[in-house]
Amino acid sequence: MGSKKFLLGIFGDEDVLLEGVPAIREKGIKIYDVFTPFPIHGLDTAMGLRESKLHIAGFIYGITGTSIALGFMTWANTFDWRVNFGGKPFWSWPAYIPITFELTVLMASAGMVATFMYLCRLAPGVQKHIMDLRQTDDKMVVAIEIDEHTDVNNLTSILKSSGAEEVNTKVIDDWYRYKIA
Amino acid sequence: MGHHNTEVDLNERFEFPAKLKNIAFGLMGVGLLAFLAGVFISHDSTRTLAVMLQNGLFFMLITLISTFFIAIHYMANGGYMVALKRIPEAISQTMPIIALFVFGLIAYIILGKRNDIFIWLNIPAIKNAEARELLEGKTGYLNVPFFIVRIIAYLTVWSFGVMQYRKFSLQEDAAPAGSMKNHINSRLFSGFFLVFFAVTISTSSWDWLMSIDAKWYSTMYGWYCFVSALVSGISLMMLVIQYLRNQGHLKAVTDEHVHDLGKFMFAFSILWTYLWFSQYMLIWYSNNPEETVYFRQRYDHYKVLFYLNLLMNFVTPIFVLMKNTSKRNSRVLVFIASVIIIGHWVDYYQMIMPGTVGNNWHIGMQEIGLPIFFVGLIIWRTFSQLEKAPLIPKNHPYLQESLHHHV
Repeated sequence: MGSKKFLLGIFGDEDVLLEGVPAIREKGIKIYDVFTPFPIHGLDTAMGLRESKLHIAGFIYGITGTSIALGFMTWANTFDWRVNFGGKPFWSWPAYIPITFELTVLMASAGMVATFMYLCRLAPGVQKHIMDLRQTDDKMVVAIEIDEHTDVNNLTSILKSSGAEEVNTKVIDDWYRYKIA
Repeated sequence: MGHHNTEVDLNERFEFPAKLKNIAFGLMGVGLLAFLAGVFISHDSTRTLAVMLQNGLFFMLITLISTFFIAIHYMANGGYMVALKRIPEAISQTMPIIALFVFGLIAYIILGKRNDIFIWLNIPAIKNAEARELLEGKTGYLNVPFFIVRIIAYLTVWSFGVMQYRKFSLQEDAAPAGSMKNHINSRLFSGFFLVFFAVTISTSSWDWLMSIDAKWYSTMYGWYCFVSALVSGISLMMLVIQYLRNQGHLKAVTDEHVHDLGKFMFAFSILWTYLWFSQYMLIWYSNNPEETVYFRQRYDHYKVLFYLNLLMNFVTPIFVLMKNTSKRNSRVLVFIASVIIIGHWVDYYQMIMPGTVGNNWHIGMQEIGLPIFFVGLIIWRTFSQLEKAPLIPKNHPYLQESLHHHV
């Protein structure tokens, strides 16, 4: 817990933001996050975010689904409860493929959605810190974490010169990473 | 990072390099000689006709797919493809030429009553009474006059579509900037063309491919052949685009566009597998002799191709293209596109051969020669058409969207 303090640069235009963000980073300043009301193409690269690992998680979920489906049907049909279907071998794997496919897709997609929601703190009922209410309307907010050692005046002028329309300070007293209402 | 393509030259033109032209003519010459040599050595007209049918249909359909690609993008208001639109346009211009070849070939087969290719052409000659009765029941659809009407309808309308899109596109270049007339006409035309295409791409594969094994039938067959052509057609576009980018042309087509085409290759490979498997599994499950005969013959006598088909068209694309960096890597894409095209050529081979040449199949001079000839023909025709118009359709209303495309 504890409190955290942020300096917020409020931007009004996405083109200014897309040039401002790399300019701020070039000065060696670490950006906590950028909040925008709509997705902005190219912002990920401008912020220097690493490539998402969500697809690797998706692959693992998918493989899990494949193994569970194939494994369970193999166990049920060849070991636990053998049933003769039209004289076919007990281990008739082509018949398992549709269910395996479905379970692979289901586990990969449901797992990815859940992971995405967890990582982005998006699940219903999850409390979020709102930096500035206008970030959900028409302004883009560049948040930089500061403490008592930060030269706020210098940082303010860097933000202003990078195109921020106004610079505010935001203190969040009750900082949590994950909290469900 | 606004993705402004400042270096894009909207009036860029392509010049057909003399070296490539020589390669194209070289391939055509070598392929034709090898084919003719193979024909004289083998002295087996069934095999020759089957090989011609396989290659004619395969290369006609993969070039026709380019027009389908344009049509579907017009219909869905797809903007991203504008920067690369001239490539499918140029590739599709090969289709009417191959259509003439296919028409001549099938007319020869039909009028010559070649029941070694299409067994239903001479029903009284079939010894088995049950098979005779079965095929007589199908004569309402599989009869010569209706068949000829259909092939003429398919090939004329398809060729007309191919040329019409090109015409609209060139008119758009000449029209004043901001004129929407050709765009709206293309979109309207897509509606009619796609409806016709959707029906005829299925029925044409029944006519030309499924009726080789006329006693057998499958409801998945039309889609299966279509997707086979679709994924190879998109791979062909990918190869042409990679060649142009490698030569320093087509700056407007970025990794983003290529990534999207790579996704198509990946997704349609899976769709092909889905259809292949659905057809296989339903037949395997119900286990009716009249249906299983199709796979029995392929599995017993074409085992290498049976597995090669799945290896090249399913296993390789899915595992290589799964990672997103490989869909942006030109070497990987060229490799996979080539595998897919050859793989689906094999797919068409194993559709046609068991019902015609039977269990004694060989890959010889004619099987190798004819595709080489067609590859040369496609290279020559595509690049000489590409030369005739600027590489970017500069008056297309979605051009800016395409230049700023970002996945």
